[in-house]
Amino acid sequence: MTRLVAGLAALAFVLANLPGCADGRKAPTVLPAGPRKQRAVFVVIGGRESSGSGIDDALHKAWPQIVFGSQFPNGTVYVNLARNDTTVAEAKVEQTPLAIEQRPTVATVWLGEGDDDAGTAPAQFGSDLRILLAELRRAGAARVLVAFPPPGAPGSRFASEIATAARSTGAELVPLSARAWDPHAPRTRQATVQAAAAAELGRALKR
Amino acid sequence: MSWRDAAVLAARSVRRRPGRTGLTILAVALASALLTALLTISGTAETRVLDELAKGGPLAGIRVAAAEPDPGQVDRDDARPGRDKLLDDVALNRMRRLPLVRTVVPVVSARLFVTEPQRRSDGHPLRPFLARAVGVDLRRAPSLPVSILTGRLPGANSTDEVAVTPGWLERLHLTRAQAQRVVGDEVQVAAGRLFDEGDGQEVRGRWVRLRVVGVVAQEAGDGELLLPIGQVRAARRWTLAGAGQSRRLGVDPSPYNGAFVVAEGIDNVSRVRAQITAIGYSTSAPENLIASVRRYLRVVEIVLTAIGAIALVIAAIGITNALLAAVRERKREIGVLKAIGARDRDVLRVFLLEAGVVGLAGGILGTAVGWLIARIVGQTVNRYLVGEGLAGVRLVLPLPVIAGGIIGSALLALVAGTVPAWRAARLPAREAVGS
Repeated sequence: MTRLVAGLAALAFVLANLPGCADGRKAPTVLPAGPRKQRAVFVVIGGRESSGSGIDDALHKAWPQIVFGSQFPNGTVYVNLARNDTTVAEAKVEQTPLAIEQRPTVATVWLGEGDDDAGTAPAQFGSDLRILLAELRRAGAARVLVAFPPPGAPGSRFASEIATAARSTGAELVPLSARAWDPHAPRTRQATVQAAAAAELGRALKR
Repeated sequence: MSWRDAAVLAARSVRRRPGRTGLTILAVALASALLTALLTISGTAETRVLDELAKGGPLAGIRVAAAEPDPGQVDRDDARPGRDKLLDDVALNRMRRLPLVRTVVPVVSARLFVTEPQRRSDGHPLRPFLARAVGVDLRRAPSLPVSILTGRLPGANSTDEVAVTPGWLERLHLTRAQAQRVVGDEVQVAAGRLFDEGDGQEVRGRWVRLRVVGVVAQEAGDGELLLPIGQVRAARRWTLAGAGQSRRLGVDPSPYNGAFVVAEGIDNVSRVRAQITAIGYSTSAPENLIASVRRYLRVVEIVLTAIGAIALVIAAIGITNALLAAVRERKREIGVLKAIGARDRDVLRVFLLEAGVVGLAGGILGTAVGWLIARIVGQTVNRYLVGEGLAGVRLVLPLPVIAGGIIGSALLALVAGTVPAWRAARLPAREAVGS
């Protein structure tokens, strides 16, 4: 009798400790909310080279998309404000306020082609660019990267103004490869420029 | 005679006739097992059915739309909303202050452009598409009609996590059973914003890359992505700040697209719905359906309990029969006991103890076996459900069923043993010894 009761008690104990048989759906578990982290915000200011126009599959092959996809962690916000043929003066009043609204932590600025076409005076270009970069810095952008065109590339006539403006505002100059603007291979130019820019700006961001 | 002596005598009697005792215990165990299995399975089925109706959320949940109520639809479970109406914090606070309202969870949504993933599960390319994202305060997830198929929900403040719905799986040509395959995937989404550009308008995106951390079992309205409310609000802000009609990009101007209101119990759902209708918003809740299903399930439970009870009565008759036989066989022993001074109540105690032990043992064994049977049935059902791409069931053995199975069997045995024990106790000593 004692053995019978002991056996039954043991069986009851084993059964009471068996896990539930379900592998089905679960009630949602609430994770601890955790502190709100400062998320990275990447904004792009620029002209045709940054807007992605004229590129096949710009959603994946434009340099800002490549840089966003490869150099920033998940959760980063990315806004591309670049517009074809924009001048630095236009970017200052149209793109910069929108960029500041996003409270960027990283900004890239690639201007010059529109000013080439518009015939902007280098001094005016330099002055507007300095204001634009300073505003981005004031808005909290820890890193402002300025594309520095190689000789022969669009906007290269503003090279010294770009260098001066970057130096005076604490922005980082990113020299772009001269090979990307190969005049003997105009059909591949856009794709090459995009790939080269993505590589060079990506390298700069890693530093 | 002490309790201890009575227990020793009862135990000796049980040991002396192991076959009969074993069979009697088995009868009780079978009846108790049947009752336990039936009640466990019916309880699980009820939970599952109601869970399906409430979409995993509380049964007393009410969906509120950012729209006026349609007078002809007010009492319907799936009421069609009337004209659009702004749902703001003032309206939500009025709902929170209503009597019998436990909680109000606001819901926002935005339409997002999705460029990643670029491939379906079968390797075919997936073109960029538009998907609706639903944002809620995920700290209130237990109050929401949401359950997890696999993985988990995003953190309430997370900026890089997303949960997806079965609609998302369908888009990737995956079944629910393959939901685990999307956990860890990266999703790249953009909220659009209209900009005036020369003669026309251009859309620019506010992009975010997210990681899928879980799959929910329900569709989030017409949404495929479930996000923390902060992320969807930021996407909406971007869209709403644009030029022209944000509706063109799938974002309503209403601060909230809806709310999920939980009433204090299912019996109060009608009253709360009426109050929200009076405030001027359209509501829907499966209250009539749930009430009908609950009535039906109650009938099923009564029938199943009756079947188990009949089995227990048959077992009780078996106990009575076995004890009556024991009394007949042990007349001489009873006579000897009485001759050496045992009183009627001592003999009664011995037989009742014997009956109680048989009932208790049968109850424990039966409850255990019943649980095992329910588990086997549950596993079979789960295999079928998972095979069909549905969520499995979680089998729960309620404490009242365990207690009822064991204590009830013991009590029933005591009742069944009363008549034989009484007859044994009233047996005159001379007659008993003489026989």
